[in-house]
Amino acid sequence: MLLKRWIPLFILIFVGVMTLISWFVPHDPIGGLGDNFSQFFDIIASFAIILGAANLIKLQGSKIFRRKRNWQYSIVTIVGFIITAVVGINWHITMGVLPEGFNYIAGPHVNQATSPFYWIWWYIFTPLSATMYALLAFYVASASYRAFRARNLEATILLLAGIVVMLGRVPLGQMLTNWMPDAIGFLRIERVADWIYTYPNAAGQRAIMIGIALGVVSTSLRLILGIEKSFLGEE
Amino acid sequence: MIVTIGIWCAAFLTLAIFSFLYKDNPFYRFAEHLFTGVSAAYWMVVAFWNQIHPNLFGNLWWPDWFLRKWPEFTYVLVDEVHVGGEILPGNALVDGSLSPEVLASAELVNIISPIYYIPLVLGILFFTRLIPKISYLSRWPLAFVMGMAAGLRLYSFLQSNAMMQISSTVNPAPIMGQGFLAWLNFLIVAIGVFTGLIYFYFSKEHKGVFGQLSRVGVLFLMLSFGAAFGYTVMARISLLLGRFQFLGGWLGGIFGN
Repeated sequence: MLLKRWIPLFILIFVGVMTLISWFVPHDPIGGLGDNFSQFFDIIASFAIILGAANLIKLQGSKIFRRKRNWQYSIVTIVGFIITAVVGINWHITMGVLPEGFNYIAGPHVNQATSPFYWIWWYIFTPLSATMYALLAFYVASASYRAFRARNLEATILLLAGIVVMLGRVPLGQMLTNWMPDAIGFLRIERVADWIYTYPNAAGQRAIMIGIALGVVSTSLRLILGIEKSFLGEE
Repeated sequence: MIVTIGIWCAAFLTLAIFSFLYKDNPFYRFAEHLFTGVSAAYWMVVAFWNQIHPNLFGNLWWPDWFLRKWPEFTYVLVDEVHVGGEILPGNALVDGSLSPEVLASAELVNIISPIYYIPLVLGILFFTRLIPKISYLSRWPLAFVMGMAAGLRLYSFLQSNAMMQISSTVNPAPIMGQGFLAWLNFLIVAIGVFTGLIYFYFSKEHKGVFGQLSRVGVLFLMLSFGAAFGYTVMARISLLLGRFQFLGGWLGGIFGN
């Protein structure tokens, strides 16, 4: 019980209270402790990323071991992972000879054009991620065709705002209204798009931001006061 | 040659992903699984070199022989290089300013911060999640991360996302002396924020005047979602055009423009 419940609860409350106090007391030792905690957060989060990668390999490995459906593709994942990890961690691996004046330096090597890690990032990771996101353009278009029917006032406003903002950002849309004289120039589509973005959109975004902030504050308080214990598997 | 292979790889992977528009197929699955493996390793490597290597290892104790063994790795672990009466930064190990003979006789100073053994231990404890018998120990680093996030976010969200936004909404100072339109826009934003917040207030039933105000709030929120949708679509289309331009360049290279 001590290891499973009370120690994590103590860590959470201690760290939460100290971090909170460090906002108001910037002097040492509390201010320094707050800075250290912030650095610890980044370091521990990095370990969490490594744990996530290890977990991925464990899952894919078990898929291969148990010959589950489509297990062959898991080999692709594991091979891709291992190659990228090895060339990323081992700073001595380069493609060809290092240019004059360059040295094997651990850390900056991942950004050197001669590094195979950089090659993987530029020719494999970037095209794959950009195309994955680009693929969403087609699905957004088909989803909006189904969802954007002007069935009521709310849906109509959503539809109009979306169309005006999209048209206001492309030359074709701007050509539609650039015949308007200056007297009614404020009705040109790019100006309407700007106005929507600057005022009514800002109002909606602010309401959402304030709502989120109040939610975050109350959840943080619940955590720091030890009321919220769902991370321990408790109600 | 390496560049040519890279461009062909990128073109193949781009087409493999686009092939999903027709239907799910082995090429898409290959690219999808490759992306999963490569991106997991990519973020792991970036986290290691950007955080763990300089910020964690740089504050721990290391034996002298290790600091001398791989200077291209240990230059961030060494805080000072004492050469004669001169004190140089750790970078002196790799910037080529010192000869190997001078480096061999130099004193390497590794200033440690014992407090950094805490994130090291907590970070390692995260891996107990992979061992079912002691997986509960992974709650300790999780508790640290949650406590830290709670302490940081409580104040920063209250300050920047709540108080500053409210202040920007109700404080008319920036538009003082401006015309009617500025005031009208100011009023539109104030009404939008106020009614939007009413919509998010669920402790009272949305009926009567309260319900009407809540409905006005919904209209502002819908307008906001529409604008956000428009921008998202534009961003995705821009990525799509980027991929088409790349494929166009690749085909141009093959067929000589």
